[in-house]
Amino acid sequence: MNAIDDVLDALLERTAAGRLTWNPTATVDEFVATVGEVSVSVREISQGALFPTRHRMEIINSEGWAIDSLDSGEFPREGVSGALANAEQTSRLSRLYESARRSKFDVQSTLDQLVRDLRNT
Amino acid sequence: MDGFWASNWGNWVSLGGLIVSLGGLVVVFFQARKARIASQAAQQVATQTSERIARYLQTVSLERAIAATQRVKLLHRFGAWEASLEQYQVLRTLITEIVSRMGPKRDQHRRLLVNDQALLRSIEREVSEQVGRSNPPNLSANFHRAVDQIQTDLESLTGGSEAGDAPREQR
Repeated sequence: MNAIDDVLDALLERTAAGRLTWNPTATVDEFVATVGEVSVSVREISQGALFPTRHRMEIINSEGWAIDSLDSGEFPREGVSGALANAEQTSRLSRLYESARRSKFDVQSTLDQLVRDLRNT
Repeated sequence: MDGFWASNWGNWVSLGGLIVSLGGLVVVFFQARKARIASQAAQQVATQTSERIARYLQTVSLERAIAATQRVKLLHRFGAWEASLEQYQVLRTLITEIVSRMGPKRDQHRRLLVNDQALLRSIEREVSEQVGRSNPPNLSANFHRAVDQIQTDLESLTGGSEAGDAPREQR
């Protein structure tokens, strides 16, 4: 297990525990969480009807540079540090994106509230 | 009596020497204490001066960063996307400077700006991916909100003594 797997695990665990705040970015399908002097962004990239949606996680330092990345569908470009996710990492990346999205939009509470409201109507 | 002085003169001289030495030690002690106090005062003045300079530089960087954000918004409004890309670099460098000058007690502020660097990165990526396309960039409401957010964060830092005392809540 390498460092990026450890990062993925820790992010999934902290997000599930509600201990990580995911913030919106300039796009609707990307979220960013800041821990200390490092930010982590997770993004869903739609590739049209012919290709599956992919996910990308980037580790961004305090100067705004992506110092490492993990992508579920694209090889890192030359000069860009990063890795192509294996099958297991792809699944965890997808879970992380979904957890971040749900955490940001507080999906669980909204659904609970909706159920309560529906039962009361 | 003369005999007593004559036979013990060496002891008296030693005693005199001891008293003179003790006096010298006391003088040295007080001089050293004075020197230490003077050195501490000089150090304090130097620290205060360097803090004042850092505060001044921080204020200048913050003002420049806010001005850069306003330029970015203007460039976006006029669709000058390539020029915007240059401004993102300027803004990124200024935010890095501001973060590096923040004191250890400014964790919350630092987190905000580190988060803003990530925001800026997503803005930059969106624009650079769309520059050169025939259609004008199709940017979401989040895009403009992100630029506003960076400006708001920078402005919130201009209020305090070092770099803002009342940061907004972590988003």
